[in-house]
Amino acid sequence: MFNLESKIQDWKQGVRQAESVTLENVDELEEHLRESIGSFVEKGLSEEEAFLVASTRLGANSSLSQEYGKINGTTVWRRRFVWMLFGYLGITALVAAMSSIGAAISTLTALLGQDGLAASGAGIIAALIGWATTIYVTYFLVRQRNAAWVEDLLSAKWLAALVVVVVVVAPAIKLVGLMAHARFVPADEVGVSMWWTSVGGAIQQGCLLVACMAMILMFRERLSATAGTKWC
Amino acid sequence: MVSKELIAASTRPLVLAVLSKGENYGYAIIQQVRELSGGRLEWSEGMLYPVLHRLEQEKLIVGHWSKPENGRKRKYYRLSAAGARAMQTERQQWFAVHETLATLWGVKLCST
Repeated sequence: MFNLESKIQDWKQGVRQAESVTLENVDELEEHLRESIGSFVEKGLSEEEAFLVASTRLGANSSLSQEYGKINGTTVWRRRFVWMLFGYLGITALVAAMSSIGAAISTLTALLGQDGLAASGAGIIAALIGWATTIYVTYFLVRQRNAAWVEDLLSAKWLAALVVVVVVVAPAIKLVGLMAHARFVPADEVGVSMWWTSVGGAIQQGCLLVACMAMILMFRERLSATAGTKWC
Repeated sequence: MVSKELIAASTRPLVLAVLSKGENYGYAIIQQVRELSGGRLEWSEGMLYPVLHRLEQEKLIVGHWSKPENGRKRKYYRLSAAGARAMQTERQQWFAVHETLATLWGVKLCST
């Protein structure tokens, strides 16, 4: 049995895949498709035939996205930038969540009378379990939807680069900073200096987060040209 | 049937000319051009919209969404003052080409 509505939704999904086509563009094309189908049905075609003729006349997705790309060039980059910002926010939130889980477990272990090594070990293990769970869930969710781009992102080259940055470069920089700090700051000042360093770090982090959110709000596309239209 | 290249080149003046008759939306613009050309101008329909948006960005036309009572929501476009001027320029250019070809091919022209 031919279901026109689901066919139109599939078609819409296909058009939305193209980065260069904004949601407003999709709305406009959808209205065109529906009107075109309506007129063919009036002329005596079945819904299935009408859909085929109307969507063919509208043109292939690839050529549509190419034509829209010529006028929506900045939209494409803005959209990528927003994704990047979302990614940063997501990772920051996850890092915060995992380190609080780790800290909580560590404190709990210490309260149960274990020594420092056991407490910090338990914290690290808890955070690792948290990360593993998150990554597994994300992977599972992404697998369910067909998203080729994630697989590109997860290519060995990028993963290796990420691992190098996270495991080697970032801790090395931090270590050098701490060593310099310990070496050059007088012993009785270290506490105060550390306190200010962490306050400064928190302020920086906070500003960055606020700036990120502000930019997302600024660059975010309106979900739809008119109210009441569903977004997928 | 008119060639792809000529279709692409003539879309802009055609859109401006149709809109100079009053505000209109994508589907109806296509229908109108199809009828007026006796079916010889066959657009790949989706291509019209990027052209409309380009004209909108250039402020030659102005678009707005409207939803009539129990009707379908549509994006209507109308010609701006700058658009009317742009159409005059296009018009002169097309007539220049047309007159040259007509002279070469020996077609009698009414004075314009």
